[in-house]
Amino acid sequence: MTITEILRSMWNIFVTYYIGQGLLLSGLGYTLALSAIAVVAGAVLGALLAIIKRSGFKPAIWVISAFVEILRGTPALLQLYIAYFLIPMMLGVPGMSPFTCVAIALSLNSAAYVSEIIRSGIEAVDKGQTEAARSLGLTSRTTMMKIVLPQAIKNILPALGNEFIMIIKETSLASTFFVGEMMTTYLTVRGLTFNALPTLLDIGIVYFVLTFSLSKLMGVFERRMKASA
Amino acid sequence: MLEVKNIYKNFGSLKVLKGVTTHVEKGEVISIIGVSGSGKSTLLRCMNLLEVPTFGEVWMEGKLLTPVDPYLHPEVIEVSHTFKKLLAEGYSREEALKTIHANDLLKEKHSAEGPAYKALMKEIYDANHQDINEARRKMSMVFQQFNLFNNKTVLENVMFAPIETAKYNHVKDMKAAKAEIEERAYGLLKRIGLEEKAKAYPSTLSGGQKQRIAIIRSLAMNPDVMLFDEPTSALDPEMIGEVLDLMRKLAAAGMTMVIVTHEMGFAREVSDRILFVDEGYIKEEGTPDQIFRDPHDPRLRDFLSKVL
Repeated sequence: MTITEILRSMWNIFVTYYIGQGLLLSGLGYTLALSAIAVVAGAVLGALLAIIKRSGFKPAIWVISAFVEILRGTPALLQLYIAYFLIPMMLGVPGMSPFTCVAIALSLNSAAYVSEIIRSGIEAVDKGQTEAARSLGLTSRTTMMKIVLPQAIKNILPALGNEFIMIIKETSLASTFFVGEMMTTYLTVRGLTFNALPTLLDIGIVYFVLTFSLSKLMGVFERRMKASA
Repeated sequence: MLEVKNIYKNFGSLKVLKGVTTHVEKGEVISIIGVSGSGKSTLLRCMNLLEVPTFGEVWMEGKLLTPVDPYLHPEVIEVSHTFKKLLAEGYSREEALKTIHANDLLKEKHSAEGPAYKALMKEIYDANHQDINEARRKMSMVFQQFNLFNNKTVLENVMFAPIETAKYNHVKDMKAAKAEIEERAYGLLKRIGLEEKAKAYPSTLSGGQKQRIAIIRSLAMNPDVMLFDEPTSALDPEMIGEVLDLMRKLAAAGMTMVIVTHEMGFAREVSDRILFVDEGYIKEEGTPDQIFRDPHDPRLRDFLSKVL
């Protein structure tokens, strides 16, 4: 196969299957849905974990630390496999859809990373800020909500954006369970055309355009935030 | 007004304060001097419980801020199991008290010393305790690193604590309260000639400006006493004067102040009393004249010969 043949196949496959049969829309839809669920649920759960961890209740800290370390220290694909079997069993829902399983697993995985992002974001705020607020007689709650967190957000948001991009890439693992996101469309198209390479290159371009434009968008956002104090 | 009773402070195995007792009277200006690492900043930070003393008590206006320290209350020791055991072993009352003090014999867990002990500890605490946040509103602190709130403008920095305090106190007419606080904040800014910086963020200010704003941020709380933790140590030399001038004015206006400082000339000029802290103790204490003209402690003499 020459380069021109590959390029022609890429174009043909893209037009016929991705546009013509709507695989681009459905694939992107599932990818973005999975990522959005994982990032939002991960952020909420991660924030919760970070708050509980800061509360100083020892048994809770041990459990959370173990959770975070295990999820960060094992491959995401392995976690998806385990979740695929374990989650329906634990929740008592035998016929649970792969999409739900994958969404839950990715959310938990993301929560582990986000809780660390939030923890380090809070710890990066100068201790003097807390001391000044407390020395003026403000409660720890007021100090956290109105002095520390608003400053920590500036450390947290950019890292959260990177986490979003990481998750978008990680959703490709869901193709193992034929969930329907971008990487699954490769399996579909390959089965119809028996032409793997051009399909993979097409998908690569889609992923790259998605993550690259997101990271540029975040760059703009970050600069604005820095400008506002 | 402020009383520190037999304060000990350990950081892990490091013993920083080893039994410090002192008091601050209304209108008094006290300077704490000593070498770096002597425990002088820790002593100041124990006064408003930014550091919680390991042993000892802090009292403000007759109210207890720390937990009860049983070693300061003989009547508590006398109902403890440990004391009764010593009496049973043939100790006299005096001997038993002395032995318990010398060897820190009281059990940390209150219930381990019996129900009477536990009840008396609670009784003393309940009768005298004041919430630390309430107490801190009346003794604000000025830090070496200024610690202005980075996410707030100068004006917001000055207004923040009074507004939050009004909210804690469930002030009914918040709008009127806010207007009053803002007027006062502007008045304070005017006093230090920085009213045109009201809308600026701290990152745009010089060190001297930051520290003067930190001082009026404390003043905005109408404190009974102000604690200064090396307020000029992080400043460029040309900015030290403006901060010391403001502190001089406060002292002249009758503000009660406790100042940890390396500015010996300033300490000598404004202080009513000077504490020399060394190796975790107050080694010498007296008027500026006594301290600078006639120092007795050899470590103080050595210190003064190096800094003067």
